[in-house]
Amino acid sequence: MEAVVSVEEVSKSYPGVLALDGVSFDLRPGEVHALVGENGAGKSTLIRILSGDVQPDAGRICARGRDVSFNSPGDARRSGIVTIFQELMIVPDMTVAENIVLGDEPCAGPLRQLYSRRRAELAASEILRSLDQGSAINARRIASTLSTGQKQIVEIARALIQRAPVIILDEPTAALSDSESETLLRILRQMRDEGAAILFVSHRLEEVRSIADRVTVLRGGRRIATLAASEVTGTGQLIELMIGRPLSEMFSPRNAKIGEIVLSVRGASRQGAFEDITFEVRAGEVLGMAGLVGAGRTEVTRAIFGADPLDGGTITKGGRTLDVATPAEAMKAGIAYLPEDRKTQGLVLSLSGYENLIMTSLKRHSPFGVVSWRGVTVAAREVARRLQFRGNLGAAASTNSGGNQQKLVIGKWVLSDADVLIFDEPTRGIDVGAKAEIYRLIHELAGAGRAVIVVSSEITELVNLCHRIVVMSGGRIYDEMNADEFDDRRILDAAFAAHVSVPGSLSERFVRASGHPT
Amino acid sequence: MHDSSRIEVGRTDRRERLTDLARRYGREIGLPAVVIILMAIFGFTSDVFLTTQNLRNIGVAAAALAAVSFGQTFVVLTAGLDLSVGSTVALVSVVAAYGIRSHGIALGVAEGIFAGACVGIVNGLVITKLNVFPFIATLAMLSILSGLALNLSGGIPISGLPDRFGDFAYDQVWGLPAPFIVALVVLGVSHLILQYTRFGRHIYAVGGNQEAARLSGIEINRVKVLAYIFCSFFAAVGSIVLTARVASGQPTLGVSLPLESVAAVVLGGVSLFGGRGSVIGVAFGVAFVSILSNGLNLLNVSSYTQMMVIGAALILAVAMDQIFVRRRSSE
Amino acid sequence: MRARSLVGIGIGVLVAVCTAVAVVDKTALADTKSGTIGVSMPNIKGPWFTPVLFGISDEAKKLGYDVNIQDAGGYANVDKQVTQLSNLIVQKVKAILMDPADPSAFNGAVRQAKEAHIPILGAGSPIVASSVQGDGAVSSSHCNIGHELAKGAKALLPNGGSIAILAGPPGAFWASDRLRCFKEDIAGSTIKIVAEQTSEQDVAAALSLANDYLQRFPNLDLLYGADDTYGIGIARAAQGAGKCGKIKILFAVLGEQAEEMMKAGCADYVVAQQPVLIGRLAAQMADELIKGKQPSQKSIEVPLFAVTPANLGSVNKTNMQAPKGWTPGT
Repeated sequence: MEAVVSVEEVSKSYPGVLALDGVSFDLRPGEVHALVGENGAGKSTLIRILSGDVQPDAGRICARGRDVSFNSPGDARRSGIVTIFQELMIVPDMTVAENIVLGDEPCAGPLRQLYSRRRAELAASEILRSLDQGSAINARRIASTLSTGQKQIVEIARALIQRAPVIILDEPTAALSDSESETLLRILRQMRDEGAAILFVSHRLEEVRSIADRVTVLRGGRRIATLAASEVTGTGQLIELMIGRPLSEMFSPRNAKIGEIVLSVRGASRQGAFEDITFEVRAGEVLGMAGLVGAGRTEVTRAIFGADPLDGGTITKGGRTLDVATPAEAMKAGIAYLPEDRKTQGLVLSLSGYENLIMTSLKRHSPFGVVSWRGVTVAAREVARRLQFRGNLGAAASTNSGGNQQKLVIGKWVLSDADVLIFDEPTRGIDVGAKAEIYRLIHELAGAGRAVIVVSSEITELVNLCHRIVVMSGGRIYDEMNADEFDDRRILDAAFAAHVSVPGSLSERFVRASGHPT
Repeated sequence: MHDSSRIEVGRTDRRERLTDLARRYGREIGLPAVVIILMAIFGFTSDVFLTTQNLRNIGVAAAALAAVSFGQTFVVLTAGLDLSVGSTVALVSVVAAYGIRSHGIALGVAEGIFAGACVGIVNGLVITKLNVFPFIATLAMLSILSGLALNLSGGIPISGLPDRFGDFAYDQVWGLPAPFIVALVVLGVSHLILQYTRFGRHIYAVGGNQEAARLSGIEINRVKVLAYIFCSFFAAVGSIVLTARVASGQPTLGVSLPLESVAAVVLGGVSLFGGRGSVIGVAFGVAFVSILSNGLNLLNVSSYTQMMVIGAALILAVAMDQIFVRRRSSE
Repeated sequence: MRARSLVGIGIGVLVAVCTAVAVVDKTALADTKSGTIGVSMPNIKGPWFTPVLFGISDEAKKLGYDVNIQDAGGYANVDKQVTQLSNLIVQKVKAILMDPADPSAFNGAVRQAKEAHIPILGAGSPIVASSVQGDGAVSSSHCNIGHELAKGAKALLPNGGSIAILAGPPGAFWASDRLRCFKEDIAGSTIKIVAEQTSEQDVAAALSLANDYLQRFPNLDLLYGADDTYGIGIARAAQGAGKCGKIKILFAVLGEQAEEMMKAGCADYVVAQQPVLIGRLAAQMADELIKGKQPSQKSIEVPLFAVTPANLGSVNKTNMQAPKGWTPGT
């Protein structure tokens, strides 16, 4: 079948890094083509070239059989390629209709300048109806009042109304709930059936498997393979192609030396967040906290860390009751916390890697209040080596990839000598290779005798990483199991226990969407 | 029991809906309400406030500020700022005065307005092509234009203008002062452009989410330059009104306008972060500032104290703006 | 909820401020006597305006009127003065005494005053607007002041010499009139003007300008100041440079500080006006017009006289200066 868009031997380099190295790739009408790869493999660069945001250094782009060159996003749009980026491109204070017709507003009157609100709303309502969202999203609503999933649908509507033959989506389901992802995938299938060519970038391999007709794997700026759906034997195969190593290297064996109870939580409650939470962690142990989004896991860990107050219950550490009112006190008591949102809560993006790393252990390096930079540099470099940090420590933290940023956050707490470490979604948004490194690090920390609590929504991750797992649902603990009792279905049932529904069918969908390798 | 619980739900539902309404529209109806309250207060404490003559005075005094503020709205909507409006007024006053003296009223006014538009072009290009922050760029232009106006005029007012020109400030059309009518026309034109043309929609898009606008194929630089041109153009209109009122070209006209126009714009509900607000709100902002200063004048409050009051009102308005922005993003 | 309470607080504060101001400020509400006379000046501070305002206020009080003094805050704020004049008219004051920053800007406003049948007079200025006649004026002719200044220059420099001029505020017609007539008189004599510049009506600005002149022209013979603000600036500059007595200093208006400078030997010839008398006469004329009487003279010219260190001791100062410490606020 004739390709509608293709790139040939396209290369692009930035100072210090070759982002794309002679990549050839094509997209056919009526297909969903998935693009997978680690962060830094070249996916975003390829997307930005196709969307007209940057120009390639070498190679050709063909659209509809003719060579084209895009000088601006407008050019790409006019050639029929519409891109929906990961960061939502919604104008929050405009209506849904205005967002949908953005850039191509229907006009009337003299000089075709008079904006016709009526026509815009009509066109928008029609598109929304074709997406089965006519009742859910009113074209007159202000865009900022929509949920993330709905905003994404508005962006899709914007692409659709252009009747673009090519639609590129970059990590579309990353911020969506399960039902919203469902809806999105259904819409994409519908569009594909109507002849659109869809390029779909995602880290969620199960999702990729469920929707893609073809899958292209990039690694190190090169195209490694393009497989038809039938040729994909499992997500494990894809992961191995992406990291170039066998899968068994992802997870190291668990630490065997478990020691005394380090932290004990009894009957902890906080109004509106969680109730009657009781568990304990031992030195050298990795405890997992599973559950759905909103189950209360983050709230519990924040309370342990002193970021939020407790209404009832006790927390004891090392035998003594812990009464921390602030994170500073928690730190002094030896508790470390890596938040979910590393960008805004874990790092000072404008400071260098060095400065972020030693932020918690500054006292050690500043006798008499003056910082000894030599000591800082030595300690920082050492921990960065252990973490296999692949960035520039001297540059601002913001310049690093997600995986490297997470390593900085982890490194900061490793250096702080805390003996209880709480990781909240440590590998979210991080590519496969960096994930493996973080898992190894967690095992190392446990091996060194520290107690680790890991909050995660990826069951696979927990099952392979932890010694024990507690499952929270609706603010309470519903199950607790040891490694030999680990069972996906059992964990899911407990996770859904607080919600009224048929556990079985929902948990199946959860398995599919969470992207755990079979 | 089942029924009573449903009734309970209904009652809290209604209460929630009211607070929700108040939150959403409180901003919009808040300012007009304050303006009315202010008028009531002044009407009460001063027996000349509500006379026709005084209301006409307010209309005339407010006209120039209104034109400048409506222009400023264009720029603030794109998340920019034009601090040079005061000096633009001064420059246009000088250029127009010379023009009127040499070429007659119509041509002289045209020359002044043309000079104003040119200022807008320069502002727009410096900000988009040279990538200078609007705050800095227009602040620098403020100084440059002021010096230019003083240079051109030799530092002294340019008099000798035909009486017909000065009389315009005191003319009345259907009982309303001519300058006030001019302000209304500027209001109408601005509203039309911003709400009903493609360009106006693009202005809101660029201010609301510049990246989204860019990736949707909107030429953001062109939109911004045009916004600055409109701003200076309307500032020029305001300058003509002021120049007529003092019947001479004054190189120091409009010194307080940058602050007052931004105050009126922010009080009127236009967000400094761009993408939100309308000139109707700004009209109420202008009304607030003008009524406040007129009323305080009639009560013999010194102009120095007035400056303090207007500054305080501005802080209040921006604080409220912040609260609503935070509210909105958490929704 | 927090937002609403903030709005409420804001409105409350505003209301409180306005009513407090209205209640505290007696001039606004108490209209007990025969009425209020409005006064509109470009400036109210300084050695010229303060004695004029004293004259007006004192005389008005004697005659039983309140005074409402409006200050535009500078010669540059022409539009503000126009607005203030309009406000006085709206407040239906009994009469208006004014000194226009730029006469051509006030035609419309003065016409409004006449339509409202409010007598409008020049106080310290012979005219109120460029093409509309006021109902009277009390002033000293600025041109005459210029002539007197020329006489002084000739007296101080009988053999000619070089002079530098501090011409006054930019655009002030009283200063430019003085200078014009001054130049007319010294044209053709051996006195040469080597420099001339306007500056803000501010002692510090004048001092700075005078210093510049002293630097540029080390052999300068005389410095001219448009009024005593400039004169004091010049005197201080000369004092600082140790040139008092070596360089001649000439200006108009004898305020308190100018007197001190003369006593210190740093002022040689001052053309004194009688601003207090101007103020009093203006108030009296206003009173006559209010009562419907035609004033004997529509335009009164108050005489000037020259003051030098020689006759300083014998000069009558009650018509020249306000009592020590008096400010227009009282």
